[in-house]
Amino acid sequence: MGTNYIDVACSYVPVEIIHAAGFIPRRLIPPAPGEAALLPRNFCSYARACVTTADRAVPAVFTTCCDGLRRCYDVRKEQGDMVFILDLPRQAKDSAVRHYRQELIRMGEWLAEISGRPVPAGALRDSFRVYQEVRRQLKTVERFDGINGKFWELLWAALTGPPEDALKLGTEFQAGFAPDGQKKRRVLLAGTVLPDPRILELAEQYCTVVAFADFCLGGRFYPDFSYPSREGPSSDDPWLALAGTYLAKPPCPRMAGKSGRAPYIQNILESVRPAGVIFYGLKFCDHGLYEVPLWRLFCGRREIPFLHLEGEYQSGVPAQLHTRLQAFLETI
Amino acid sequence: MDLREYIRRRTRRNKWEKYVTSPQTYLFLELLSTFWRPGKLVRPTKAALLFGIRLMRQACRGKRPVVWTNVYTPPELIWAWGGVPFLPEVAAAVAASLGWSTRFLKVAEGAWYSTDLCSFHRCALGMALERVLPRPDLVIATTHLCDGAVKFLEMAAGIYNCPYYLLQVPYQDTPQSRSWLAEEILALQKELKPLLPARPEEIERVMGNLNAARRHMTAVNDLRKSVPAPWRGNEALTQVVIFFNGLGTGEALSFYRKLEQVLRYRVSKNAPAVAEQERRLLWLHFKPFYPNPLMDLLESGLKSVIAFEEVSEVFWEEIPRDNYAGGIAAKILANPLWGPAERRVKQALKLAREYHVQGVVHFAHWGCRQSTGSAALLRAALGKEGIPFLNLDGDCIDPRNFMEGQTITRVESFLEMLR
Repeated sequence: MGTNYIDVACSYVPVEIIHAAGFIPRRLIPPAPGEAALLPRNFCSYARACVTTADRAVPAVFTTCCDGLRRCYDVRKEQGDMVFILDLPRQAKDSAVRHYRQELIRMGEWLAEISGRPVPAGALRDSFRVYQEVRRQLKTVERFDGINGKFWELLWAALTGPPEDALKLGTEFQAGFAPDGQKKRRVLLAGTVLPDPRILELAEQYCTVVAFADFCLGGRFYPDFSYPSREGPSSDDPWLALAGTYLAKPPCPRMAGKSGRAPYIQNILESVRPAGVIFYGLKFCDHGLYEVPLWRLFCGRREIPFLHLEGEYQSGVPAQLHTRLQAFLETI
Repeated sequence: MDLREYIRRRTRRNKWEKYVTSPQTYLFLELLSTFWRPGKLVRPTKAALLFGIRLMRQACRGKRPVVWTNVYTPPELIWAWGGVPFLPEVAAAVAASLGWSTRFLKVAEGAWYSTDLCSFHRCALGMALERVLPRPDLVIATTHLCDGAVKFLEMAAGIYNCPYYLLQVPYQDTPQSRSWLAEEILALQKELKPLLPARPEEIERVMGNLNAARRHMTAVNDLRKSVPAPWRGNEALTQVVIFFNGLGTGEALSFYRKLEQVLRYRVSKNAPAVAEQERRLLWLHFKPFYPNPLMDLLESGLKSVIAFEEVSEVFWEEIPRDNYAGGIAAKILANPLWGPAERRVKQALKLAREYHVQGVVHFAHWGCRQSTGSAALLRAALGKEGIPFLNLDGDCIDPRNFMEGQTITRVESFLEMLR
């Protein structure tokens, strides 16, 4: 893999800064984890993959998003990899935004050290525009096609390559849209890191459309937002604008308090009105595991059927999971 | 279940709740404790016990606001602001030591909290669902050390329908992050003013107690460097409740003063805590709190002693009188268990040298990602220094995860290697 990439392990890392610094931001999506005894077995398999099977020649940005990825950063740093950790607040209040701004500037300095030139403010604004367009296209494809096939292909292109390539692909998709006219069940898929995207194919196979995918690798990576999303002088300060916008994006399960998940979950259940909710979590992911009772509670109140599935990162969709999914879909 | 069985179960549960959360129970226990006249060497134990009883009495009486918080949130902050800090994780450890944890763990599991989650939090959630803990008036979570605590406390605030506040702790310890955190502490104090009065004279008194206790704690830790060890690590890991819950109170100060006197006496009289101490160990993380043979066997039958444990380290400086928020911010950020794991590794190496240990045991508590995640780094760093390291898988709270034979065999093999 070329050295022009920078891997990012969290949806709260503003990819615009990396792009403006002259790199290609790439979501860290390594293959299934190998065994290296660097992290214990009862540890999130995504974190283990980030240590064992990731392309370690590529510099990586981690955040303090969870215990797993914090330890992942520690292990890779100890092994001499070029890694950076961004201190990510759990709330979107003003003081947290100011703190996150400082952290983003620190990340900009780290990138400048690698590239040998500072991140120009003008380039940052250009990157805003490019990624805004990518997000807009993703929303359009999602509206036409749901979170199946083409949406995932486009999202994958945006996550793993230059945003300019994703834009071209999005334009091609939009030109060729034709609704299939088949009536499908709408389900909501939620979780932290999507363990295996093949679950989407499986849902499609059972004539189901994923109306909303609430994942770090899904809707939360490319939320529909504009810069700056906050009021005040932030528009003059691109770093503050990015810090505020990213912290105010749809919250991931690690966010807490007023910026937490309870109001968000209720809101998406209200707006999406799914026929069923599938929580597809990673085994040993604490944030995800604490979400399960919350989803159950809110789904129960609305009488929406709920299914909790657990999987290991990139380990495929085993037959047992097929059966459970099939049985669940039969009930909705 | 028939109606009679249902009523019987309900009645039993209601009685249980009634007694455990009644201040009269703790008043009775406090009065009962006056009949216990321990010898000189056991006085700190009585002080710790009395602290626990008084804490529960205060928390159940409800005259001062009860604040639920997580371990390593400085309890002195809550005491100084006029609240009673209550740590459900410590309550879980107490429940486990009384042999009650399985019941609460099952309650939490029945409410869909996964068995993969940390059992400290699961047990505390079960206790919250059973309403056997003092009701919180508010919940304050700090974002160090682990993710579980933040989420668990948020759930608990939901269960009791009380306000939830979060104190964000920066990841790096820098002058900027210290001043940012100090500002956050003061902002929180201001925000909580309607609930917690935070009188200046009370803040000064509590910080004075903390600084005085710190001096005794430092002296205790210095005395524990003596060979043979004057205090059992198993006991130190039990008394850690004072460290987490009591700092800033007169009772904690009294406990550490008495402990220093006892250890000084033991060192001067060459009266070790354990008769035969062929091997000295450093213990990382906590111990299994439920009744089990491991800890006693380790410090008696296997002729070893836990010379020190990382959770007892005094890692902070005295709190300045004119800037308590800055001092507390510095204390929080100086915690070597927070931030990059290299800080914990450095501390383990320092402690291993200072306490002249032959081996290090890391109790890998099931469900604790923040601690177990650094085990490989600890092993590598200690290995470079030639210090043997045992990563002992287990569970601090859930006795169902304790494999007695397997665990003891591993410990025995490790100790044999240290000969």
